[in-house]
Amino acid sequence: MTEVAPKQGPGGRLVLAALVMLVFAGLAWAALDRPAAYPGLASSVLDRLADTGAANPVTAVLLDFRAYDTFLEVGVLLIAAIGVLSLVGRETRVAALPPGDRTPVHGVLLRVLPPLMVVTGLWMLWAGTSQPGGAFQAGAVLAATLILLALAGKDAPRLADTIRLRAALAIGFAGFLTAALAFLMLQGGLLAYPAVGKTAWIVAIEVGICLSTAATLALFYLLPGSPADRA
Amino acid sequence: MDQADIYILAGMALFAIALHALAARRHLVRKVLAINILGGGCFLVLIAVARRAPGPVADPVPHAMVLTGIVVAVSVTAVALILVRRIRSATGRTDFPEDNRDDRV
Repeated sequence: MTEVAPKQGPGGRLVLAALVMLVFAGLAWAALDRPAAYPGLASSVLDRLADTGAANPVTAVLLDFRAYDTFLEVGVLLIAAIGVLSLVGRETRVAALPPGDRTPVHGVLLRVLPPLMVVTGLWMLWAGTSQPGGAFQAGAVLAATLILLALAGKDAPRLADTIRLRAALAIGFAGFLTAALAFLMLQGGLLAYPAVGKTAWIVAIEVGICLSTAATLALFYLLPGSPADRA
Repeated sequence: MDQADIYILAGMALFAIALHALAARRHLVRKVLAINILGGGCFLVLIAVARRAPGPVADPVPHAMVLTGIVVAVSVTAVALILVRRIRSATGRTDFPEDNRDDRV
């Protein structure tokens, strides 16, 4: 089934093109007609950076100032993972690794790259509190390692629908929720970090998010492509 | 017009092109791609806006919003692609019937 010409005739296409141009014109006008002095929020963030547990402003915004956003974002990731697991059907939930034919290139790459990628991912996780990096980026690198191993047909950690996979998918949200509820009881506010040990809380939450991100991204990539689904 | 404005306009152009594709294309995978490009345009605008703010560093708030947005976009894409596969395995089509009233499948 290839792309067929849209059902509307040339008139309909012109109307659509005109509407899209109108949208672009409106957006461009809004972009160029801006107030001369836009203060931004960088100074507000930098002024209070010392009060957060993170030295990297982006991490401070993600896990402190706008922690609610990140909390729900991790929830979205978990819901998407549940959706994928439910929709692929039971028969496809077995091992997701295609056999793959290995070449000498795979052999060298698989010996050299995965350890480097794991170290890079863990470094990004750790560095995220003070430098560019963070839990989601680290999780993406770890997921890429899993996908590389699976693509090369190496006997990678098997990604079947097991209790361990489900735990890995859920730990980010569960950890964040536990922290939020603990803060609610300790501090009287959801996601109101206690004054002491902020960095430790942030790192702990980030470790959970990193694990969940890695598991979820690998699941998105590998499980739907499992051989049983290719019927 | 400064450098950031060029990026902002490019992001908006991507948004408009993807909006066109979302309406004009029938194949569901192309629609999913269009949604991704549309989101990419939004991210480009946000990153450029962050750069435009005065100060020693770029505004971290839009950066954090883009990071959140990327994760949500990945989640949406994964679920959408699974749904497309399910639609194909259930009906044998990769488009919606109402997009295709002349039945030239």
